[in-house]
Amino acid sequence: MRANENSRFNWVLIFAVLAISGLGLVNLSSVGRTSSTNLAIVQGVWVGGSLLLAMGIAILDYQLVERLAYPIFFALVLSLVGVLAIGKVVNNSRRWIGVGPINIQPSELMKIGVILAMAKYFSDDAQVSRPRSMLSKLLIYLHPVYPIAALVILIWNWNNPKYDFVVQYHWILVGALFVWEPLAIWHFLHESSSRRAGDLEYSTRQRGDKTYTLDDLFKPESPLYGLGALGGLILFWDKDFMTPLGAWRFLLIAAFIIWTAFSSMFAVRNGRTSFHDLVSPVLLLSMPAVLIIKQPDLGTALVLLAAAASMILFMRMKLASLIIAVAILLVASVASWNIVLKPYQQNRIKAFWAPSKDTKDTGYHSRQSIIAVGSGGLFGKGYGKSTQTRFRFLPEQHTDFVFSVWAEEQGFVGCLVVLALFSFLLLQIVNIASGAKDRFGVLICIGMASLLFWHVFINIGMVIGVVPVVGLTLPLWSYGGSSVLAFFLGFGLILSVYYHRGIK
Amino acid sequence: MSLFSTKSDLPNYKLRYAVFLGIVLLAFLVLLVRLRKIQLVQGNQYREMSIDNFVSERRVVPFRGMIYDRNGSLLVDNQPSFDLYLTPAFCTKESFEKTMTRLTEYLGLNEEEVDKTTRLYSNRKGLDRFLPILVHREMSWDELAIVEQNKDKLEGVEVQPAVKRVYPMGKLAAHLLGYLGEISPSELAARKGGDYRQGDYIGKAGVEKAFEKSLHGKSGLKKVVVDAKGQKMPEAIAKKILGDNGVIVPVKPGANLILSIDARLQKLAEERFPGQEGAVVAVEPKTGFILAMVSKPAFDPNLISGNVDVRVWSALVHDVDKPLTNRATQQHYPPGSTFKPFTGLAALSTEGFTSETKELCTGGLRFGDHYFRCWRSGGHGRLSIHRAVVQSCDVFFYKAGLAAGIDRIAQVARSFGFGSKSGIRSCIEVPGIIPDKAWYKAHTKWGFLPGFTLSDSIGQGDVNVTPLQLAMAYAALSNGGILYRPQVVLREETPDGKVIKQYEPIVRGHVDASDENLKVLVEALTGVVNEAGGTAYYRRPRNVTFKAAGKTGTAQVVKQFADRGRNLPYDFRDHALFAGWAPADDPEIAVAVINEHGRHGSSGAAPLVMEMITYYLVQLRAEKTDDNEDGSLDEDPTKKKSLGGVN
Repeated sequence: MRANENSRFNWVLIFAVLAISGLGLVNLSSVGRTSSTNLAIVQGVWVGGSLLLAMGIAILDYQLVERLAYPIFFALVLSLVGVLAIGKVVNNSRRWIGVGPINIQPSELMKIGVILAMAKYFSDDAQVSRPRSMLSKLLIYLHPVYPIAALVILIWNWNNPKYDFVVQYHWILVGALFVWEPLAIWHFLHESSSRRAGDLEYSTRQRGDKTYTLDDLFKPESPLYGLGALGGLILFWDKDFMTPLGAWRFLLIAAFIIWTAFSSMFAVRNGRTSFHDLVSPVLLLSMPAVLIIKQPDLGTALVLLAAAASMILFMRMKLASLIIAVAILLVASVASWNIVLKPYQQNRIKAFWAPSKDTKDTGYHSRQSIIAVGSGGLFGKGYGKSTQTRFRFLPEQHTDFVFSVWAEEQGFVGCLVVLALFSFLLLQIVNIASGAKDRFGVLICIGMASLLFWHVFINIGMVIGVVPVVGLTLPLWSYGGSSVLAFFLGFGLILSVYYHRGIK
Repeated sequence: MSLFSTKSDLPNYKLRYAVFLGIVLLAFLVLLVRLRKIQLVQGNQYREMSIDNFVSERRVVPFRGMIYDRNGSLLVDNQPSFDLYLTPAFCTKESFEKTMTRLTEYLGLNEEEVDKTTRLYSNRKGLDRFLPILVHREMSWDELAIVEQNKDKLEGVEVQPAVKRVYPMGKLAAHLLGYLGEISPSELAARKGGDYRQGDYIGKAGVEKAFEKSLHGKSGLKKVVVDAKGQKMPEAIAKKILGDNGVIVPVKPGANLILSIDARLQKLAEERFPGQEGAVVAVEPKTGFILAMVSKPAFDPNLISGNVDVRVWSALVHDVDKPLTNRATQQHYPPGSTFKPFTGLAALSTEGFTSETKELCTGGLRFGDHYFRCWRSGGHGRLSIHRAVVQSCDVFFYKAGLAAGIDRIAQVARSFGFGSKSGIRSCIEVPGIIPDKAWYKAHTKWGFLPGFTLSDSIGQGDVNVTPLQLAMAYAALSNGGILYRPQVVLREETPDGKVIKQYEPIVRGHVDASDENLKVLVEALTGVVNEAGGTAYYRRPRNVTFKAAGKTGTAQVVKQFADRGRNLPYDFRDHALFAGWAPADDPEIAVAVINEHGRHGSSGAAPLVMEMITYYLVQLRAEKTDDNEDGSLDEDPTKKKSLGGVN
């Protein structure tokens, strides 16, 4: 099944990644002719450094990462909060944190964090525990709702000086902090101890004896996070950025509570992911998603959710749960049109669906990109001869629209080569997944493959006008160190999965 | 570890991998199908669109022709200047106000400019937002430097080179040269389909207007390479990309005009003009070409050409002295005694009136119930036409006028070009008035009364002429009776000096007078300057080899006034006139001067004519013959070389 059974490094993957990066650098050097700094060289340094890092990670056992998945995830969530608080603003978006001379984009690293958390959650299904009594069910399942909802509200009103949450709803938070959470923790520990006594009634999936370890405290259902988040909330409290709680926000929280309670009834006893099992992942995902949309960075948030959804679907869902989930997703996306999307984002999507009604302002980027790609023809205009680039008709030509430069200069043949290389890379990642020794390894590979796929599909689709312009990089091609670093970290994990694949 | 091996269900994933890869390939296939459509099927179409993107056709405005005097001195020049534009599409609403504040600070924009820009900025929608708005014209170098330094703070601001019309000699010959202005909607409509656009400059007066067609040239059309912000790329890049120089229609520069005027003579006339208001016209008697044309007071065309300050303009328009009026052609003047030669010619042509006919002047003539005075109240005694002209006897010409009759006087005067437009192309003209019986019937309540003949005979009454007509009539007197059409332009040349068109003298007609009679008058007019007792005898040029001829004139502004002494209010004082030529027997220059309220022709006009004649015939001749010794010409008032004879 494997070409080189003895090698521990998967050289095929490394070759594919380097081939793609190499072409990307060639393309960037063409784009960079209009820019003062040499983009290709800076990018090349990032690629080289990241590759070494990836090979280092490959040697480490990824099971170490498995244990640290949730702490890594929550650390990254904290860094996203930090971005909103002290981040740098570029092009009206607050995405970067300066670390010494370089600027890091935590939302890029968050992609890996989400994959880790999802992989961890779904590979842990043998340890899902079910509380017995209704009271403990409520306490356990609802406890993260409070802090997360509060966090959402807080972030939403970050720049609103009139928010006076403390005055009006302080008793809820105080109650949650001093009554709810201690109760939840007490129950959690109590049930664990009773499970240890061999009471199989709690386990819905025949997991056998549950040995309660310190790991469990880092599970998403652990009250520890709720406690931490609430404590943090109170610590960071500042009346100045609070505003009256809108009615719809209150409804949102109510909906969370009702949904969570209701969902526990869907608990089923087969191996497929049920609605109930989505509670924790959805709550987990909502944190980075909200934080990233707030930056605002719609593209990254969407690709995060898309990759996570792909992983969930890969683990298969009950049909009924799937239908309900899709229905809720649709309703939510319609409802969030005005809440989540900024006017310019709405315009881009409108311009995509009804290009004829568009004025030059909104659809301009998309049209110029299509002109660039189309004018490339079969063989392209040749390296460095993109008129769309040279005369600056292409927006973001070194980041989001980097592919249209390639398409214009190298033509259809060049595009075919790039798509073939990405397909080959995806095939190789899936190939590694199939040889992984455990479910966490499989899920990391699938998560990375999904992330890569969505990035490539949305970015190229956006460039050639089959997807609305959302602002997303082309992996390894778009200029940006954080993006390169994040993908190479992912490749490192995949290499590690291969390295530690064991012998079947 | 748990009872279930986490590995145990891994083999079941095979189908999932297949589905995953299937979806991936399907999605990539969608991309490929789309790529095939836009790159292979519609590729050529998009290629054209990409070319349309950066190739834009721009009008190349022709270089307006320059204007020189007959000796090659530059009278009208073009200088590079810079216009400031603002493109709304590249200037956000937030930064617009800031940008305008900064521009006002740097350039001192006036309210009109700010209002206009703000209005256009907010009115422009959609694609129109990519059309640049002209904010400010003709920036100075200092302003350009400030704008260029702060360009990153001025969103959407662009500087484009332009050409500014410059009149290096200021007020010199301003009325003749004219000035430029932005084309008006009606002018634009009249030239529909022509070579003009909104905002172009067009000649508004003088030679600039009359020879607009020659001066303007013809616009070209050129492909230029622009970037997304409409910024023009350097020529080298454009050439490489377009493969040629991009010319679609070559531009044809305007023709340079060589005027017949002599800037030095013009300058002398302007500087030495003895009064405040009036006109001077100097012509070549044997060709009709104008040597100088002055109208006082004058204006500086630099101030009103192109970017006009509204205040300056309205001050000029509302000035009671009417500096914009060309008094040489647009103003009626009573010719006074300068009209007497024509009355004389009319009389000589009648039966029984000869050059020997003598009349008695006793200081006045009673006619009907009215007493017509002679200027010399003591009277001139008995004199013939020769002495009557020399001494400018009024009574003689009353009688001569009566002998000829008003209609005959009018006939002769009209044959000298009075009473009709001279046909000069470059100036607006009034026709003047030469009254006859029919004219009185049409224009007065009582029709013709015999007494009118007397006052008309001596150039008072209803006779009205323009200084140009006067000069042309005296030129005709001097040259043997040929009336020329006055012209200003000698020739048109291409920028590299090739003659396009040479203007030849145009004969308007021959005067209605016999050669003998003309000779009598020429001799009499020579006597005015050269015989003792002549009204201009004391003004004659001294120490020269030629003789001048001419006639003084003192035209009454108010008919009868008790006290004509020094205390007369300015507006009531007589006009001083002199018309003459030199040399008397072989005329090379004829000059007419009207000095409004200059009191006496002999003192208020004759000295300037003599000075001009002498300067033209002596000093300028001398310069011409020894061109190399330029150091000796320090008295030359127009010693100014061309400021930028760029071809």
